[in-house]
Amino acid sequence: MFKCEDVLSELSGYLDNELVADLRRQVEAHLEHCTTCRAVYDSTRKTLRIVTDSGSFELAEDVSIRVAERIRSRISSGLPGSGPAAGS
Amino acid sequence: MSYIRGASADARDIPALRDFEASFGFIPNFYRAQTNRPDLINAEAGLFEAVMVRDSALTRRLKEYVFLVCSSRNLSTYCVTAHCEMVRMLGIEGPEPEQIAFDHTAAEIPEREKALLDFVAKVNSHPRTVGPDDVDLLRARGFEDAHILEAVLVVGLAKFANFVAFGLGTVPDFDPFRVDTLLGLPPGAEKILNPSSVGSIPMNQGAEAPAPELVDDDADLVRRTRSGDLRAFDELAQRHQQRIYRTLMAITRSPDDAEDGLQNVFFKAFQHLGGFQGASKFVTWLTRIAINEGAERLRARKDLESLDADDSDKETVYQSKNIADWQANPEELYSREELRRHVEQGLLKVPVKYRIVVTLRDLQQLSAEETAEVLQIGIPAMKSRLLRGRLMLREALAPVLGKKAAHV
Repeated sequence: MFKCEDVLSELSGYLDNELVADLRRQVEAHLEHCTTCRAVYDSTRKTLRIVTDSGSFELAEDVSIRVAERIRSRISSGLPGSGPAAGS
Repeated sequence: MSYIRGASADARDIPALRDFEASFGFIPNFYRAQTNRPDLINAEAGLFEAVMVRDSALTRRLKEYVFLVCSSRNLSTYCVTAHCEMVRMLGIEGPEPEQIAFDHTAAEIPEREKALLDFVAKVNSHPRTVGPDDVDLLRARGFEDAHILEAVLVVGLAKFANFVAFGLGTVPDFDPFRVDTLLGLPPGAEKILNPSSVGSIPMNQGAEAPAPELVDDDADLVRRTRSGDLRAFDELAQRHQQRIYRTLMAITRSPDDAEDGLQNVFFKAFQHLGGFQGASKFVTWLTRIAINEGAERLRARKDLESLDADDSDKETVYQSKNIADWQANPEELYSREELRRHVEQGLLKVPVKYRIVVTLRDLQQLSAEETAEVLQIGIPAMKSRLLRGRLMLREALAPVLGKKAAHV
């Protein structure tokens, strides 16, 4: 019988649909009757959905333009390797 | 994971398997498939320990190379990948173990060691042609009987492991991907080690077979940049700025560091584009540069966080504390902007070692293989960090997304 810790250690694989059929069935059988694991599974699933759609750490447009400009000028301002901040 | 079913729920009750888990962070499929007979697992582990691990006339490294030469000749993907990882656990970096497995005669190791590996290859593949002359050749190279005995025993042990792995159908769980990337081969080339996909083609023949093409959407822009077209590089920068910025933010937690790092990454990429071999995708190579840049910045500002900090992967199971139910659509509690801020704050509460894996895998949607490759860790280690990272992030978001939050 699968224990809670077994389910937890397979949770990522289960969420990513990477488990072989037998293992998946064991996880599902456990989730069926264990409310604690089901709550952890359900909230982790929702967490991933939210993270993926969140657009976190987005590069603001003004920063993007500024950085692109600096990259251009660093590359064209001299031979590769002689840039003022190379390797910093 | 294997043809026969082991008693997987009880795997941790077997002392030898607990030791394996402590060493590797997981229980290898090779042993999982044998859990119906704990007594035999313990006996095998004892034999392995006695022959391979304990101090002996031959060094552990050379014994591992004997094991690799035999396993590759027996086309055992499982044992080759497992023992390449074990060599790395000895602190040997770089593609040397994979090179030994592919063709030890081309490896940069002393001639004396090559002579021993020639000998074990012969014992492994043409045992009936082995004679006293072969042993004399080794003696002429300075090997004594104690060395030769151990080498022969390792050949036997490798054959045992190789054939058990075949018979049980154990799926590699160590990291076949590394064999490709470290040798600069396209993904999937390691399949030449896998007899089930190519019948009985000898390895050297397989290695010369045309490899599958790596599809890289950036290849044309990279080629144009190399021929001096700066606009092409500009386009590459536009295309990948967002991803590199996210990677840097996830590591450094600082918009200023991420912005400075962003231009450094592209500048370094431009400088070193000549060294980009095309063995991986351009964007994978670029992300690798970004991870190094981020790690350097953490070091430079003497940050308490570090990408290669304490190795707590081995802690068995992460304990979830906040286990109240969440409502059906917690994202409806907040505006998109608020939600984004909560996720960012939540991510920053997760230690960087785990945060970067969740960022690459779940925010940037890299595949498991790409994530492991850019972090230069094995897939099992990546998965273990991903699991912990996801559970920690869930924990961090529970106060704002859980049931209680709904009443605030």
